[in-house]
Amino acid sequence: MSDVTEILMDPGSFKLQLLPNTPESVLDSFDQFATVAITAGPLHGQNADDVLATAIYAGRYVTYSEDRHTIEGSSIVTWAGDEDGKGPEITEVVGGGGNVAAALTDLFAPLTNTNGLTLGDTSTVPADTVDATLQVGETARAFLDRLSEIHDLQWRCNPDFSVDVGDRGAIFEADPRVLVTPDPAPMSLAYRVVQGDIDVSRTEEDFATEVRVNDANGIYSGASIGLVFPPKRPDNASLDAEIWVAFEMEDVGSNAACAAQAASDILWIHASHFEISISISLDDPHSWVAPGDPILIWSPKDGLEDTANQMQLDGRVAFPLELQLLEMAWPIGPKMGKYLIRNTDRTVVDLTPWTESSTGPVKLVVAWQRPTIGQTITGRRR
Amino acid sequence: MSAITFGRWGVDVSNERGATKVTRTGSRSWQFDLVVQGTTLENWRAHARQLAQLPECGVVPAAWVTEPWVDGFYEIEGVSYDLEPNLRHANAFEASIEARQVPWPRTPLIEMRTTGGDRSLTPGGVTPDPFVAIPSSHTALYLDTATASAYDRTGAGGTVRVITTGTDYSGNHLYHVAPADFYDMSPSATVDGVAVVSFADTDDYTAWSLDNGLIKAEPGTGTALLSCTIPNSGLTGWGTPFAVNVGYYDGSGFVLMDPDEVVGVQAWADGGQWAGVKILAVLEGGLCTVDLVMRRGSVLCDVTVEGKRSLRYGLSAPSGTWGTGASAQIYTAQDGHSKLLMSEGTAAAVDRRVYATTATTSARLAVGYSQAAGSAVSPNTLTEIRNQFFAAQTINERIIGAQM
Repeated sequence: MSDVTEILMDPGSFKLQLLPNTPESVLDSFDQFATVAITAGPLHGQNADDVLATAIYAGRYVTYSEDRHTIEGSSIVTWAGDEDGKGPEITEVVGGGGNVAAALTDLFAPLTNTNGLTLGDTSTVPADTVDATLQVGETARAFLDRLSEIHDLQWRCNPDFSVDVGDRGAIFEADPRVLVTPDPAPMSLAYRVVQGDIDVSRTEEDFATEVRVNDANGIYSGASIGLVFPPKRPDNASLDAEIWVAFEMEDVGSNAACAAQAASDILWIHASHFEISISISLDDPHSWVAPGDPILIWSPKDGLEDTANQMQLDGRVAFPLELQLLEMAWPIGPKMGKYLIRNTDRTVVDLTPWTESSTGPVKLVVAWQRPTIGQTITGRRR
Repeated sequence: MSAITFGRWGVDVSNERGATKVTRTGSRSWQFDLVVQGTTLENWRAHARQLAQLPECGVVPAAWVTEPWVDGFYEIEGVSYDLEPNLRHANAFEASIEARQVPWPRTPLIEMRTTGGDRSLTPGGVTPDPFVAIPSSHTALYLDTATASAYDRTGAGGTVRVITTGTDYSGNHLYHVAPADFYDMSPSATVDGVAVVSFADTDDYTAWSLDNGLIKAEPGTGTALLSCTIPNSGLTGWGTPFAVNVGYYDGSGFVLMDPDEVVGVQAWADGGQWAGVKILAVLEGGLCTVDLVMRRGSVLCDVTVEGKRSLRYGLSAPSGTWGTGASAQIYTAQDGHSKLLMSEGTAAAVDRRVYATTATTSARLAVGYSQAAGSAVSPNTLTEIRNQFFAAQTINERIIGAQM
C-alpha cells in the first residue's frame, strides 16, 4: 500500500512500499533524508531539477522498515522544521520592525535558515507591519505558521522546494473544479462531479466566547476578543453564555498584536470544529484538486448547502457549499512515476518498476470552523 | 395498468399469468415471487433493467390492488430475476423481490425539505413565487411556512395540490398519503415504455418520454428536438403536440440542435417530486447537454442547455403564430393556444424564439403554457407561471418513521 497524505500547511506523510524483488543496488541508493518524488506519469532520464519541477509531490525519507522495503516520511517542508520542532537554526534578525514581506525575505534569503527551501510566490503578501517576532529556538516553519496565522495568510510548499505565501485565492486555485455529492453523480460540463461517501461531524470542545491574552507572567495584557453572537445561557435565553479562555504569550509585543492573535484564535482554534470526511474515487486526483484548493459539496440531506451559491446541476438548481480542502490522502497509482533523489550526489533513481502501486478511494477532509456554518447545519429555521 | 407496484416499478399481475407467491421471511420481511409479463422481449428487458435498480431507491411505497394488506412503505433489500423464459407464456419471466416493511405506522409521514432562493438572473420587477406540490389525495399536511395560496391544477391523470409559500424558500413540510397515491401526478420518465425507477440510459433518441400529468415532453421529429403536449382539456389546443427547437442564435439566424446530433439520453427519477431527461449532443462541434426537468405541480418543462462553447442558447417554435409576452420582463412567445417559451436573465423574444442576448456557457429555459390572455384565471396567468419559473428550489423527500 503506497499512499500520500497531504495536509494544508502541514508536513503530512507518505509511504512507499517497494516490491520484494527490488534490487539491492536500489535499496542501497537510499541515503539519509533522500527526496522521494511522485510524478503524474513516468519520466525518462531527467535530472533532479527536472523531476522536481514536474513532480506532484515531494517527500523527505525518514524511516524504513520491513527490511528496507517500506519507506516512510513526510513533506519536504520538514526541512524548514519537522513535526518535533527540530530544524535549522535561524541566526539572522528576522522581521525586526519591518513589514510582513520583508520578514519573509529575511527568513528565506539565507538558505541555511530553511535547508534550501526557497521563497516562491509572495505577490499577495501585504505590506502590513509584522505583528510577530522570531522567538529563540523557533524553526522557520514554526515562525512561518505563526506569521501566517496572525496575518491571515496561507502557505504551500511546492515539490520544487519553493514555498508560496499569500492570500488563499492567490496561491491556490481560485475556482473549484470538483463537486462532490452523495447521489449518483450527475454529469456536468463545467465541473468534475464525483459521487462520494460524506461523513459530517462537529464538536464544541474547544469553543470559547472570549479569548484573553496574558503575558509570560500570567498577567492580563489588556487584549481580549469576544464573539459578537455568542450562544445563550441555559437558564435565560436573553443572556449570553460566557466561556472564556486565557492563554499566555511570551511575545506580547503590543496590545494590537495580542488582539490580532486573539481574533485569529477565536475564529479558528476556539470555534465550533466542523469536519467533513469524504471518500471518492478519482484517478489522478492531483490534476483536479489539492489541499488548499476550493471544493464544492452538495448534500442537502446532510445540511451541506449554501443558498448564496446558486448553480445548475443536471437541469436542477443546486446550492453547493464551497469549502477549502484541508487534507487529501491518495494512493500512489500504477501510472505515476516514483523517483528517489539522493542528497549526496543529486542522482535520480527510478523507483517506478520497484514500487507496489495502490488503487482505491481518495480520502478528503474539509473543515469549517466559523460559527455561521454551524448554524446552517444545526440551527436550521423551523 | 399495473396491479402491483414497488416504487415506480409496476407490473400487471391481475391476469392469470401473474402467478404470485408471497413468503414471510421475517417479522417485517416479505418475499414476493412474481411472474412478470412483458408485451415484447424488449419490453421485458426494460422491466428487468428497472427492477434491478429498486434497491437503490431507499424506502419506496408499494401497493397491490387486489391484496391491499400489502400496501405500505418498504425498503427493497434485494431483487432477482430469472432470465430463462417462462415456458408457458411468451415474454414472461420470473422475478423475486425481497422487501422489509416500515414498522409503524404503515403509511408514515413524508417530509419535504425545501431549500432555495430567487433565481440569480431574476429580472427587476419579478417576484419569484416558490411552491410545494403534493398529491391531491393527501390526508394530512403540516406546513412550517406561511401559505400564500393553495389550489389544484388539473391535468391528464387527475389533480395535483399546489401550495405557494410566499417568500419562504426553506422549510420542513410534512404530509401523509396512502402508498397507492404517492406517485399521483408525479413527474415520470420512461425509457422503452417502462417508467424509470432511478436511472436509465439509451442511445436511441426516440425511446424516451417525460410527463408530469400537466405537460408532456417527447422526442421531436425532423429538426425539432422536442415535442410537447398539454394534457389539460380545459385549454385551447390541448392534446395536440407542438414542436420545440433547441439551439442558439448566431447573430443572424437560429442554429438548431436536431435529433441526429444526439449522442445519448439518460433519464432519471427522484422520489415523487422530480424526473428528468439528459440529452447529450454535439452542437457545432462542441459537446452540449440539454437537461429537461419536470417538477410535480409545475406546468413548465425546464430546459437547461449547457455547452463547452459560450453561445446565445435559446428555444424556438418552428410554426404557429407567436408574439412576445405581456411585458418586457416576460420573455415569452405566446399564441392563442397559450403555449410559452421562456428564458431567464436578459433574453430576446422575436420570431417565435427566445434566446440569451449575450453568449454564455449555460442557459436556463422553459417550455410550458399558461391560460390564454383574456380567459386567464389564477393561478395559471402568464405572470404567475413566470413568477414560479424564477423561484429556484430544491426539494428532498424523506419518509419519517422509517427507521428499519
